Amino acid sequence: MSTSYTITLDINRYDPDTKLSWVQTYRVEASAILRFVDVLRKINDEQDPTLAWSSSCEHAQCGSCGVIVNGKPLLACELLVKDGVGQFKTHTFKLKPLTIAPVLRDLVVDLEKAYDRVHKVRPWLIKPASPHPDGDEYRISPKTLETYSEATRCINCFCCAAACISTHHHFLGPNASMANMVRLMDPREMARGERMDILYREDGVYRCHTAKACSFVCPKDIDVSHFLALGKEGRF
Amino acid sequence: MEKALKITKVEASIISLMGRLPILSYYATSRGWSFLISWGHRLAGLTLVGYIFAHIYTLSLLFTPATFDADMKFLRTPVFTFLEWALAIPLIFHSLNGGRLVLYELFHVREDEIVIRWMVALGLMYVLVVGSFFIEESAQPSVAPFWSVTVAISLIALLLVFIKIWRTGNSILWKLQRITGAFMIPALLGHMLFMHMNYLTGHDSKTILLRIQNPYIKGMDLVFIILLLFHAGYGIFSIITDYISQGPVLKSLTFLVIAIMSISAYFGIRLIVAL
Repeated sequence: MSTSYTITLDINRYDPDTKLSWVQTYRVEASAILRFVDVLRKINDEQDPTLAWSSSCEHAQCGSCGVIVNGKPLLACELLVKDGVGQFKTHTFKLKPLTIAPVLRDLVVDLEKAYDRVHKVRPWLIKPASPHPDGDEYRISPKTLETYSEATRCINCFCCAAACISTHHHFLGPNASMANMVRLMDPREMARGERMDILYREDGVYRCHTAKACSFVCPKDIDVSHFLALGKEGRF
Repeated sequence: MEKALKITKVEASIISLMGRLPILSYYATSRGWSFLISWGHRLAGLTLVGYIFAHIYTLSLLFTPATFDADMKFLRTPVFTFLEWALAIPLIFHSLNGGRLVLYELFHVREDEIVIRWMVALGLMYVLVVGSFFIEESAQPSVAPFWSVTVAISLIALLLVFIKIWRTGNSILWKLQRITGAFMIPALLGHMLFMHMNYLTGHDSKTILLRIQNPYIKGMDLVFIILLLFHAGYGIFSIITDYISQGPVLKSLTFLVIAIMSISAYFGIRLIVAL
């Protein structure tokens, strides 16, 4: 039988109809191996069906359940209650929505708005190279792939952007900048000039201060600051 | 990619102790130690900016040497002596951390934890050496060799960063921030050491006036003041733009920073030329 904890959740609430914001406290009896999404669902089921939060895959692949727990942006589907207690050394958790876009309700933010930043870097192959003459595939050497495959794990959960010291008034953000970097390192991308313009635009990579909070909070363990530094270094 | 560093028991104890302090523990857990170091870099930088203004003011008293000497005598209390020595802490921290950022961002040094370890060790050594000068107060610097070596190291640092960075597409002001920083790391650390080797070097009007009238030193001081105020101004602008979005507030604050730095530069340059 797994241990259970009595935890307290202080959750930032927001009602878009009345424009009222407040902090609501919930006390929950939670099994040690429950994830925070499960705890939020338990609150919906047992205490308050009006509490809004978002999730989709709940397997750390879609990035839609990002929240700030005791100051740390993370995926609620990845954090077990026992890990939360261990990591933050408390049974009380303050939950806030990510600060990367306007709040729609409670813990739900407007991800469309957040994604606008990613779309600005055009995170696809703008001008793909011709395929190999012997087949349809484009061959990339394992050595080349190794230099940027880590960055392709990014799921755009925006945890890095929420943790960033540069905030996001004048910075595209770590994940969006890294998405551009991935395509710059991708030998299939032929639109290098356009990529370089994106890299060094006014809200581009030099706005990163190398505080490395992005790498620290990344749920996919990507060393985001390493990739951003490559841009500043002039690697491309 | 970074490799995890094996930390010693002493380091683990220090980190654990620091991790128990209220604000530090919150950000160490939620954003990581590098985030805290970045904030430390900003706060140290702002402290140094405050000191630059005070420094320009006290040096302006050299126009009437008797006033300057009287003020220095007044400031020679244990509290002010301690504060003067304590200035070495933000100076060495801001300098070495700036060096760390240059290594990480421009020279692909990803062994960041090892660099931080060196930063702490060298920082402690520097603060202790400066402290020993305050206690001893009798070291006799050889001016020409000291400054020749310091300036040579500063120019090499400037050149290395310039070569590495200039052709990149980063913002020109950002590049100049790195370049001026690289020059000032050895130059300012040398300056603080030199000025405190004995009491007269940095506190006696006759000694200072004699030195500042040397065209070589005058030229160095002029370079110092221009680079310093640019570096400080851009640093503050950089922090402001992180927290204030486009609009009249941002424009007003930017104008204010440029105005303050320009006025300070004007007074500083006028002072150095006239003395």
